[in-house]
Amino acid sequence: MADSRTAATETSRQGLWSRIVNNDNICGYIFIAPFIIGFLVFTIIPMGASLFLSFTKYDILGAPQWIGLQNFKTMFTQDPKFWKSFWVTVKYVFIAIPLRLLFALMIALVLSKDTKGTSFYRASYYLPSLIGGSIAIAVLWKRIFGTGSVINSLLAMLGININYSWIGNPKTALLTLIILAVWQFGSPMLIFLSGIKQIPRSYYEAARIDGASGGACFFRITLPLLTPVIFFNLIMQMITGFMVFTQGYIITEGGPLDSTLFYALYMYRQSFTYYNMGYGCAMAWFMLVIIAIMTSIVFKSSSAWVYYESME
Amino acid sequence: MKRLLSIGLVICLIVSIFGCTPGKQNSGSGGNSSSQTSKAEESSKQEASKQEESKQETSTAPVDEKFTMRFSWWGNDTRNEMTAKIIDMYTTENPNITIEPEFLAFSAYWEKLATQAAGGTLADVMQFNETRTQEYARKNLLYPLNSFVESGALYVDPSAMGTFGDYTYEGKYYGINAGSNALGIHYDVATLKEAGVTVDDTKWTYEDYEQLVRDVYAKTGKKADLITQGGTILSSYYRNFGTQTYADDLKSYIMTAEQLQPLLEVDYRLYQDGLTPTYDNYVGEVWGDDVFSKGETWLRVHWSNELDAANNYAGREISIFACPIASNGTQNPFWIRGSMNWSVNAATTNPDECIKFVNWVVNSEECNKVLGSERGVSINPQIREMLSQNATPILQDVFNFVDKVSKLQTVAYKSQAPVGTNEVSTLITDSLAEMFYGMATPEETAKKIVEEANKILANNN
Repeated sequence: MADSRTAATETSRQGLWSRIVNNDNICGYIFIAPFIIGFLVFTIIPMGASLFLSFTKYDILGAPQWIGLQNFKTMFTQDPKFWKSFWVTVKYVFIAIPLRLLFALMIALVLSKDTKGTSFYRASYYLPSLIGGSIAIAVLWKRIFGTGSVINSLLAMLGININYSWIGNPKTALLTLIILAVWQFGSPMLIFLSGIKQIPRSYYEAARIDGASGGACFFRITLPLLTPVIFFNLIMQMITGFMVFTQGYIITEGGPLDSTLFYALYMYRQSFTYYNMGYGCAMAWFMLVIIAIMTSIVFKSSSAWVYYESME
Repeated sequence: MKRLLSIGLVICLIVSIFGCTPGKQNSGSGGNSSSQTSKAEESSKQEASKQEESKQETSTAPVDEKFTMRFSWWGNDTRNEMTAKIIDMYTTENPNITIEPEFLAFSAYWEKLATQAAGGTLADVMQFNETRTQEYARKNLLYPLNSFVESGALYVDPSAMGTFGDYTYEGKYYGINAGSNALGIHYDVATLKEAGVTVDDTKWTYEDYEQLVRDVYAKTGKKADLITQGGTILSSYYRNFGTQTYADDLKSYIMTAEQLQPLLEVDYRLYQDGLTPTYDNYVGEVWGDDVFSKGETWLRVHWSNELDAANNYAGREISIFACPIASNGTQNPFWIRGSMNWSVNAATTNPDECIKFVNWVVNSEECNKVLGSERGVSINPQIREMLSQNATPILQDVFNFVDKVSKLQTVAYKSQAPVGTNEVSTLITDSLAEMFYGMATPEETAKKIVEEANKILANNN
């Protein structure tokens, strides 16, 4: 018994290197190790820390004090701004994300045709997503939607006189940020584009021969075959939608009257401006739960509308 | 599976050892047997440096040793350019010193500082203000300056010793005044001249202010900024009602809602009558791209040291009035304060070099020739003398203004730093916005501000 064990160690020592190199699993783990380590150090450990901090009163400068569920109690029962910011974010997600996907899909359809200069157009339509929430965009958006702005002058030419700032009006401020979000449709557009390219030409040719119109081709071929891509885009965009921060932080600072006080912005304000880091962490965990619920709803619903070719 | 785990652990270890190798470290930090022990020593050193006693011992560093000093401040374009220039001057003169500048706008600056404080990565020399100095000193994050003041390494003119009041915590100084300023109302000189009215800002009330805005509008068609916008004016307004802003236990304001109401009414009347821009102009406003800089209004509340930058942004001649007096007040609100101060990180590896730099910034003629009074009027009388001899007209204006206000100040104000003031200032801005959007009357707004602020203060202190 003991002999066989030493013999085994002996052979394993000799062949250790070749075994590592020849074992696909081990090689695989080594290759993903950088990610795994990064994930542990920069995601799992901070998440654990934030879970702990969500049960504490922590002002960043001093040591955290354990206060149990107090943060959550305050959040749900005593903080109207918490709910305000929550609903602002929900409104943003439910309006901006479908619109952005729709827009991205439309542009992707146009750009999928191989005409002269498509690659130039593809790049230029992606540009707005690259500049994102920068100060330049904040200034640009104020020029477009502020007082005496581009939009107002255009409307004046049509005989409609508006002299208020769209950004400064509590009723329309969120709308301007939604328009910004829709305008930045670049990344879902690229994904749609590659999805459209994946659909075999022969399907369309066959349909044409059978006399299908362009509309029928789109609704009967493109759209069903694109549903997995739509599903993927919807999930990704919904998650980033719930985490919206920059536009509200840079362009409107959450105003006017908290009409653009996004959840992540309020969380940031609590954590870094008011130094209520514990409360901010509690808010983050609530958002995680909400995103998880929303994602699972979309996943559950997917069996009803997402079509996979391989399932045939 | 076990083998896999052990391989994984070995890789983790290797990566973490490489990862822990100190990158840019000061050679004086000691301990070079292995990276991990030096790391441990570093952290124990930081622990130790938080205790006052050991601090003085570990602080000695050989002269002319290479030192990279991180230096952070908040500011506007004018200030950033000036500060970059003095950094160049200092590092040319002291080749052993490298200065890494970090600068941000005011609110972003404090957000970053808080995270740096949590991570133990605060800059060596930092620009601070009095409330934050108290807050950070309370948490042992700042280096006490007393020994340097006593040894003369940090020169303070006897006449300026009083300026330490705002930066003192438990008998120790945690900051040195970088310049004094006063709150005032910036105005467009040409507009006032065009209107042909005169103002005696040494004894004007908010009612006089309202009349002035109306007169000037009648004659020139120029609007005034909302005087309550952003709530800055309150730091002068509080001082009409007592020698301190907050109660002794820091749990409430001294000022009552009834006392606040008349101020809000003045602005509300002007707003209703269309003598100010509509509130939507102020949403997401950036200094330089605001209604005052663009010349749409002729009056705006600002600090005196910001006159230089305001002139630059506006591109026309801007001067400054003292803040009006509340006619329902119990005393006059004239008030000079340290606009900002220099503080040193408690965990710095080379406090002597930090102080040497701070002393140079505060007291050297060459440096102050560049800085002027952009951070406030110097507390060093020789520097003031030197600057006023060949001052630009704007600088002379600032000097005269600060001089005037300091002569008008009759009461000594108590420096207080309650926790929760950021939350209070959001409350003030939000409540004012509600009032201007027509959702609340000045009476309701005054009541809301005082009641809610007292609640926040009571919760935090």
